[in-house]
Amino acid sequence: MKDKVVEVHNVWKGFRMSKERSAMLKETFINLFRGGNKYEEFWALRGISFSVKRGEAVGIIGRNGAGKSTLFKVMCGTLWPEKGKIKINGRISALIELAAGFHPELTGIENIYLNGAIYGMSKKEVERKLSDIIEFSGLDRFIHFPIRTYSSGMYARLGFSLAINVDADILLIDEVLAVGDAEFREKCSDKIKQMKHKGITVVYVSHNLNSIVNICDRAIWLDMGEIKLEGKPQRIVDEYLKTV
Amino acid sequence: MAIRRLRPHSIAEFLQYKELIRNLVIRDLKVRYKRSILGVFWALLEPLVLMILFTVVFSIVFRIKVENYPVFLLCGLLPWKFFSSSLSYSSSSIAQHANLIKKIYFPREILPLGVILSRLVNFLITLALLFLFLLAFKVKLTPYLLFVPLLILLQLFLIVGLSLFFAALNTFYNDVEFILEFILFGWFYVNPIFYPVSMVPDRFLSLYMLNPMAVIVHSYRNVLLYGQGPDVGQLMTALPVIALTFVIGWMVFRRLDYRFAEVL
Repeated sequence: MKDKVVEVHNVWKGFRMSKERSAMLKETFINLFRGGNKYEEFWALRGISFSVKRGEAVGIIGRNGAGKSTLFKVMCGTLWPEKGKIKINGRISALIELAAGFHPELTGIENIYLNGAIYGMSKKEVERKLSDIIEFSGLDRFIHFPIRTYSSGMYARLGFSLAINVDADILLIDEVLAVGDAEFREKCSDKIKQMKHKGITVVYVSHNLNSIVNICDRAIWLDMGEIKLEGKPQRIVDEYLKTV
Repeated sequence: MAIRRLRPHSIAEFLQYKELIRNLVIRDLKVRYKRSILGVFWALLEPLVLMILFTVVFSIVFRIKVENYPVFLLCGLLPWKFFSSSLSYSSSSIAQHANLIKKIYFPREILPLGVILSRLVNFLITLALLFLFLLAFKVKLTPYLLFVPLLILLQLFLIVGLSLFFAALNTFYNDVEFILEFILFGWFYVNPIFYPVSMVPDRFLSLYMLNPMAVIVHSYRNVLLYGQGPDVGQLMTALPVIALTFVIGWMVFRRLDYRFAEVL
């Protein structure tokens, strides 16, 4: 039981789609008088269940709109499911479109501290990791410059270096390996594999089927908010490719 | 669709993120003053300019008869600025960090709280300026000054409650930001900032003092300028109002925050 690190049990997530966001106050009042909801409902996840064992790497594939990102966010805890349960045993680090919390006016180092804190790291922890983070990013002396002066590649590298150095038990990765040049991508893949060997659990959401096969032990194919197929990455990817 | 799941919540979880609050406060202060030549002096310049302006208008033109009018004014103006800037900055703090909210989980309260604490630091800096003025105007400093931290604490609770309330609503309805500006504009006048409480007609006084900010401003002035203790009766009426505001504000925020990432 204990080596199930991630347990997703019958998770449903729906969205209310209202056409105009800015008119919401007006709409709310109008709806109050009409007594009806003028929303369209859309279920992005329809009863998803799976679990991930410690040290396992699971890839999630599917078309656009299949529910991959929603599933990812529900696991991160930024979205709450309407129904179902998610149990996560351990600390999560989410490699998202990196650099979400970066502030352009602050230097690379200052941003490392700020974002480390956003990931829930203590100051000491960041200090301990600082040289690793800087080295992995390959930013060198630019680390002392405000990051508004960075190129987008440098941004991404800094973000990735930070996220990957969080002491996490579970690493959630969403499409990040698409950033940076080939060399940096290679470095990232290696690092992820390395972490897997250390017993860190990986959940990887991607369109990049090659890297799913390359990194993962198991793949899950999402379609219309449901799990269509689950199994060995190569087999799932082959089946998936037949339908595209 | 109506099934609500409130997220688990614990003080321990919150404490785990104290580093984040600290970092946000530092960032807020750094970014605000980093790219300006005068830097942190802007924090002092603003109340000084307002003080001169208000003194000209109310002391010279309207002839409100109060001794040491510039200091009298500062005693009310500084706490008010702390109050109003906290509310208006924090109300947009969630929407401003849409990117973060959508991507990473952390207790959402941290964003408005960070803004408020950075405003508090700003307030403390301006308080130092006030003390210089008190000395320059030869106001006698008394042990009643020890009440200042207590007043700051009371004010903080009020600010946190209101800020969380407005920040949560503003995330759903952008209109709230504009409504808040109106509220603050009007609220300014029902506080004894540029006039003394004694100018409020007696029959309105008890109604007037239901406004906790009026009590707080009045108390700051008693303590700082007049060397008196705050009016205990007034504080006792303000206390439940502040406590209620705090609890309601936080509850409303907690009720709504799990949907922030969806509507941003």
